[in-house]
Parts: sequence; C-alpha cells; structure tokens
Amino acid sequence: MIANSIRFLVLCVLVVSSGCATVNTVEPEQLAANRSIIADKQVITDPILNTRTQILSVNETITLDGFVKVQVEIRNATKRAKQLEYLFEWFDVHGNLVPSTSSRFQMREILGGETIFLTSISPTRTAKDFKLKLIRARN
Amino acid sequence: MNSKKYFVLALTVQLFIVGCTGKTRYVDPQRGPLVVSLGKINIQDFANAAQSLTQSLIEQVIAQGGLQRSDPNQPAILAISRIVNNTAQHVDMDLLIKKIRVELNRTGEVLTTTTLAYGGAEDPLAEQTQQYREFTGETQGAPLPDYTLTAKIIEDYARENRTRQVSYAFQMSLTNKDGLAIWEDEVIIVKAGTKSAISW
Repeated sequence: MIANSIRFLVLCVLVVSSGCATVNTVEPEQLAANRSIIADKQVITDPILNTRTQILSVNETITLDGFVKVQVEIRNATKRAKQLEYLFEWFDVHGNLVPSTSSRFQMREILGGETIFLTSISPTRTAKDFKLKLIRARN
Repeated sequence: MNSKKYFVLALTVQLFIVGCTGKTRYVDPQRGPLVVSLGKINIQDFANAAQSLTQSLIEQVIAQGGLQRSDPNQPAILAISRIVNNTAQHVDMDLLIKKIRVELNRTGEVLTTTTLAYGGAEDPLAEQTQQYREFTGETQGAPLPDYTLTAKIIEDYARENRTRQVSYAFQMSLTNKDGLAIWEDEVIIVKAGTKSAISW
C-alpha cells in the first residue's frame, strides 16, 4: 500500500515537472544588430494571456522595395510551455484593411521563459500599418 | 429492475435530445476553430502553408526588389509548372497554389499566365483567343514567363504505441529564365494524436 502511494507520488512529481522545462539562452554581450524599435499601443482584453505572454518590443523595418517588415518579441513569463494563436492584419495609408486570402490565425508554442519573434511582411507596398492579434490557443 | 429501466429510458431520451439539438453551423475559415484530422490534409493546413510560403517569397524576393522583368514597367510574369502530390490522398493542389497566386497578384509585382502551364493551359479559351490574335497579326505572340513555380507535398507517418504522427512537407521553388532557383522554401506541418481523439 505504501509502495503504491510512493509510486503514485513519484508519478505525480514527474508529470508536474515534465511541463516545467524552461529555456536557457546564450548570446553575445554586445549585439551587432541595431534594432529600430517603435512605440506600440496595446489593448488588453485577456489579462491572463497578458500575464503569461509579455510583449517586449516591436521593431519595424522598410525593405529595399518599400515593403514594411515587423517583428514582435514575446516572452513566456511562466515556467510552463504555452500555446498561442496570432494573426497580423495590415492597413493602407487610409486605414483600410488590406485583404489577404491567407491571413489567418496561426499557432505557436512558447516554452517556459522562452522569447520568440512573430514576424510579418506587408502583403503590398501600400500597406503601412499593422495590428497583431493574440489569443490563447483554442485546441 | 425498475430503476434500471428508468435509467435506460432516461439515457435514450438524453441521447435523443442531444441528437436533436446538434446543429450545423458556419465557421469563419480565418478565425476557426476548424476540424483537425490526423489522416488528412485539412483546409487550414493548406492555408497555413500558403501563408508562410507567400510571406517568405515576398520577404526574400519581391520586397528586396529581386524580381527581374522582361518589361521593366510591367509586373513579372509567372507560369505554374509541375505540382507534385506525393501523398496517399487525392487533393486539389489549387487549395495551395491559388492562394499563393492571389497573394502574389495583389502585390502588384507578379501576374500569372493562364495560357501557358505545365500539362496544358488553365484557360483553354484564353489560349485559343491568343492563338487567333497571333494568326490575324493582332499580337506578336504571348509573352513568355519570367519565372516558373514548382511545388511538391510529401507526407511521412510515424507511430509509437497509440500515438500517431503525420507530417506534411510543402516544398516550393521559383525558377528564373536562366533555370536557376532564385527562391526555395519548405513548410512542415506536423499533427499527432490518437485514433479516438480524431473521431469527429
């Protein structure tokens, strides 16, 4: 009976600890890259998601042919792997949504403590502004 | 005995009610959530692959001013070449290719020819009209493509105990007039689950 209880306890510890793998990273102390960070405006409707996944920075660059490329840095503030879905929407200079047949929510997994980059490039040269939508994974 | 009868009756009524209330609904294909099948390439898999491949093509070629055109003032002309489906499923590859074509067309930098394609013209009437115009001297022949696009889907199965994993690799290449692949990319979609988890 006691042996069974110990086995069960060990199993529980293993199950709990297996979901807590966090990420260690190493990078140069002096980075060569000079990122053009832009000011962002956030609208939070899901405080739980906002607590778990923090938006650290948004950087934007203009390509040689005038397309806009954005990169949003997101960190999983928890010790557990989290899944989220994201969608980029693009707008022209008049604020109109630029239609895209392939623009849809995509899933990403972020390990505990990991930082990832969500990137998108404007679908046309006329698209200038963007909006990133983030939701908790629904699967 | 009586309680058993009541239980069976209650269960039957419950099942009947559930069966009646189950209804078909519209699902926004961009927002989902959509049905995920383990043994099938779902429509969202094509959409995700098309989205990633289009973003890659725009970022690495079009946005860098890397398109070479026969007429510098006109969009580059793209022809669709061999599209290979190396999976056990019968799928219409336009679920992938059309999305990419539409997105490239919207950039204003690329136009796809529908009269010249691997395996025959996509639009036979347009081809005949073109030939007629050439015959009457109205035009001097169809413009030749600046680029050709090839694609392939490969599937891979793996299994451990009750868990099954299926992977789909979407590969694509863009070749220029010199026969050089100026852009290539691959998107891999992996699904894992048990048979019971995908029954619906």
